[in-house]
Amino acid sequence: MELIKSIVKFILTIFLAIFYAIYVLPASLFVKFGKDKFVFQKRPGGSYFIDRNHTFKPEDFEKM
Amino acid sequence: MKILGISGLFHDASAALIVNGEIISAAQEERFTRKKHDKDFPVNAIRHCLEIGGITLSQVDAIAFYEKPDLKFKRLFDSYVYYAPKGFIPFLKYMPAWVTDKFFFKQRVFSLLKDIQKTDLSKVKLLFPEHHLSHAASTFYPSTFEEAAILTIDGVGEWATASICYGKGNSIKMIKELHFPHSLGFLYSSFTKFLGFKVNNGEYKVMGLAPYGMLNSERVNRYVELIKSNLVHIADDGSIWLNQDYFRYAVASEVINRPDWEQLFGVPQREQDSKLEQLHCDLALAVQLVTEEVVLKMAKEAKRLTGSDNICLSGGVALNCVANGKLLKAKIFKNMYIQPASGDSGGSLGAALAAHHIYYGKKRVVGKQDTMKGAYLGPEYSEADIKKLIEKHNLVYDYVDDEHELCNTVAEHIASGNVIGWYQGRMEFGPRALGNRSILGDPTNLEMQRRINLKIKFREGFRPFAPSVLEEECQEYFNLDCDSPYMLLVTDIQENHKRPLPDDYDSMQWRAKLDVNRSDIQAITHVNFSARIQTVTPESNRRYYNLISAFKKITGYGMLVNTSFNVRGEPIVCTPEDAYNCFMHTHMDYLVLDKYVFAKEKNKKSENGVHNEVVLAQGDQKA
Repeated sequence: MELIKSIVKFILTIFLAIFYAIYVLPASLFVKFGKDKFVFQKRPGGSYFIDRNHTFKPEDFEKM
Repeated sequence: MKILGISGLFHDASAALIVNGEIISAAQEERFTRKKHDKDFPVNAIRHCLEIGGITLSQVDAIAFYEKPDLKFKRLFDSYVYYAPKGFIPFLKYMPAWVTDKFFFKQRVFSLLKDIQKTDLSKVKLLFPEHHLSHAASTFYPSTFEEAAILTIDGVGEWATASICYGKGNSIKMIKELHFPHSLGFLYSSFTKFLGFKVNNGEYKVMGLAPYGMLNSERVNRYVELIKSNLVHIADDGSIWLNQDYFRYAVASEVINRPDWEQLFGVPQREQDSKLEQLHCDLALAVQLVTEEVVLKMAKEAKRLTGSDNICLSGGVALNCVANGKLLKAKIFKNMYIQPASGDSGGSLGAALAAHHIYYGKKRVVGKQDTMKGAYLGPEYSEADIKKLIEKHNLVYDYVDDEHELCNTVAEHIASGNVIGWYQGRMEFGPRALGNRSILGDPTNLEMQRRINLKIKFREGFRPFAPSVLEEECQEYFNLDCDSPYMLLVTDIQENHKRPLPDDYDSMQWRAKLDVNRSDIQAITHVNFSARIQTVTPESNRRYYNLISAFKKITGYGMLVNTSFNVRGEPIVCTPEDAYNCFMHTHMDYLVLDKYVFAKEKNKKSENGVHNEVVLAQGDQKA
């Protein structure tokens, strides 16, 4: 059982490394240099708060 | 309507049960497993809640988990994307578990629940309120306010790290929120790490260390300036932006960029248990001052947005009693309420309350007292359990049936300089011991602070102790004009209780200040004359109130030193057996389990007592 777990973990790690190279890295460039200013970047203006103005409703509890 | 709230799988797992809106029980998993800040699924806490409620899992209408795992996963993934190629190794390390959680979370929860009770859960709803809604609900719904501004501040939930909400009746509106990675909680935790304490555990120590810093000194002012010009930008409305060049927590397991911090402050990061110096105290004071500035500005913004006279606080930062005290003093709001389990452990309770009032739309009844039942919401053990313990260890004891006689006896022991392990009734929910799982001592005893720190708690000698004071006596000793039942407010002691200080007190090295006789209630007076107050009434805890009253009759002082019944690194005791073990392995003089009084002298035997005194006392010498 331990051997199977180790093999699965190894395969998953290889898969994630490939996924990182072909998706995460290019996406990172797109986010950093794209027009869409991400939350991590300093925004101009006097506040870093994000307006929400949302009164919670029952349907807000359904989604995970 | 029965709702079970659950928090966990990150840190401070807990469970809470509410029935028709009434809080029936709530407990942290760590108390049962004896693993501090236990994050595992709260199997034992759930069992306890069901037992107290006298129900099975299948009778529960809904289970509310305190946050949204999907949203949290998205935040984590987006962080990896933004910071790539930084975070490649943690990505490979942590992602497999997150992927599993994301796709199989509900199945995992139901599977864990079925391990508790093999029962049909097909009719039980699984709900997911947002993390900061859980915090907001945990403080607003139990409060005595019909409407209130709600301020929640912590490390991070899904995306939000702080929120300003408005609660009215049974509804909560989230007006603004601050998003990860800009987090006041993480800023404080980063300093906790840099000062050589454990993150999510040592924040209290930083708060306790700050008063040793030299206020208005050139170094503290310089540190504040360095923090505000390099690490964090504070907007006028209290929102903050953290310069991520200095932090690593967004994608790595390290919290800070250590070399950059060392260069910025010109000091190396303190290693755990290494010697504490004045500059560490000054750093602690600097981050405390910045934290207070942010909290006050956020509170002002909450006032501006809501116009309410009332404020409810929650989230880990709401456990910063010093900042709470400053907020109270600033009088931005007329009334203030703080959830006693403000950290993530309180999320279970908030999730259940939010589900009750928002998901099921149940009306809220506001009373004159909050609905937290004094935070005594945990398990209670019977006389039979105590008798079993006595039999198992062949203990020698005195049984004192009459409550007044019991209180008089114990008060006399305390007045004679003894330290008491005091155990009764239901365990407290939240990080504070409030008189049911407490270690008690005489506040006027000059040696008490050092003695309890070094010989009983085995912790750093600099850490302060808090008083439990009769509510009607509070203003005699402290500058506080409201109640503080959950020990969440810090204020100054009154002038007439202060002792004259040496002329060079302000410039004394931090360690030397500890030895100066500062007041007639020395054991609970911190070096800056502050104290963290618990007010006690007969309604909140009758026997504890009677004990303090009995102490007053003997000494004239209506207060006791109250610290949590545990030793360093362990959770507060839960069972009588835990209490006995703690008692036997420390230099406590008496243990009081309900009406049974055990003297150490009579129960010494061959127990391997005071096992870690030497090791920890040496650590303290260094500190």
